[in-house]
Amino acid sequence: MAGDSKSYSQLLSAISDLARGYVRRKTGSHADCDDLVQEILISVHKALPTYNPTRPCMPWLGAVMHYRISDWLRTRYAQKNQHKVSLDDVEEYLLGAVTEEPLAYEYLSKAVASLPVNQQAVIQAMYHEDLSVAETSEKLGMSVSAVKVTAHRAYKKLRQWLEEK
Amino acid sequence: MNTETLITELSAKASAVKYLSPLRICAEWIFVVFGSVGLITFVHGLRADWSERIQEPVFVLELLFNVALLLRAGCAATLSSYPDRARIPALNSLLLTLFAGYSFLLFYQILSAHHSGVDIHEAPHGVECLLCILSFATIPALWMAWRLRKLASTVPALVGGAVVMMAMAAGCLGVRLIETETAGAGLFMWHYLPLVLFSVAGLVLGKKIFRW
Repeated sequence: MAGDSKSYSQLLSAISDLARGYVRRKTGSHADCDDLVQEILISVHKALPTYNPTRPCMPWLGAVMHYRISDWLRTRYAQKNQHKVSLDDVEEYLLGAVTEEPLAYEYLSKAVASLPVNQQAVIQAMYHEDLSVAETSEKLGMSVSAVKVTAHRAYKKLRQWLEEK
Repeated sequence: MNTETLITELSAKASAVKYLSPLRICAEWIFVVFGSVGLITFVHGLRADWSERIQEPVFVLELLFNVALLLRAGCAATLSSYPDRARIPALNSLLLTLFAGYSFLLFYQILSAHHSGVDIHEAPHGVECLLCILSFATIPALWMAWRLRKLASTVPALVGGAVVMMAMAAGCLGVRLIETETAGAGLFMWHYLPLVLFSVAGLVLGKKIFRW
């Protein structure tokens, strides 16, 4: 590096673009991407005396980026381990029911029973008897689009009913 | 701070950066290590049976092993401080070859001593040997740590292990130049086993010391 700040700025910008893509690909985290890219830029700045201008740049840059990302991941996993929850603290929760009461089968049946008769018949055919839309329309003597519309209205009413209760 | 601001700040600090060649670093530590070992050996004085022992091929091989291990560990530590040169498989195989060669040599020494009626357990090696090795190793280890911390290692644990191995090899070399004890099981116990154990400890320390 000859100390030209304009060229150096362009170089750092190019590296930051490259690093951003690399970081996103490796960590899958968009939230920490900027922090990590900045750490990489600072590392590149610090490590410049170890770069040999006669050698290809990418292995050197790749090693610096990889090191910084590994370091970040290591710290992140260590922090996650510190937030471990004791089994004793969640015992009550673990021993509780797996499904909530309102979603029980009887509860849903009650909701379906509150629907108009034609909607009940469509839901019955499609979900209890596991028929397709075409088969349901044949069985109930309705057109396919009428079955779809009736099912859509039934879902809407069921959603409303469940939200209210 | 956003990335653009950081780039502006860093580019404002732009100055001419000179590449630090690994060869130069190697030349520096070779000078420091052999200088310090030579100086301490000069202060203590060479072993009394030096002229006889230097004619024994096994003893010469032992010294050469120490020098080779020292050079290998020092080169590995130096190269590992450069991001794009961190892992050189040839250096690892060289280390294994050295250890295998020296284990054979040590085994041969113990076996020949046993056949010639010498009690290998009576060879007077002890904790003093270890302390003496550490006194030889201190300057090389501190100097290397100081020098390599200014570089950018992407494998800090390996650098730590290699630095300690280099310093301990220098210590083992120095002690063999001043002590008059013969080879035996104690040589393995108090010279080369600590070398390995301290190098393993160096791996752990390296993570802290060479992190940047």
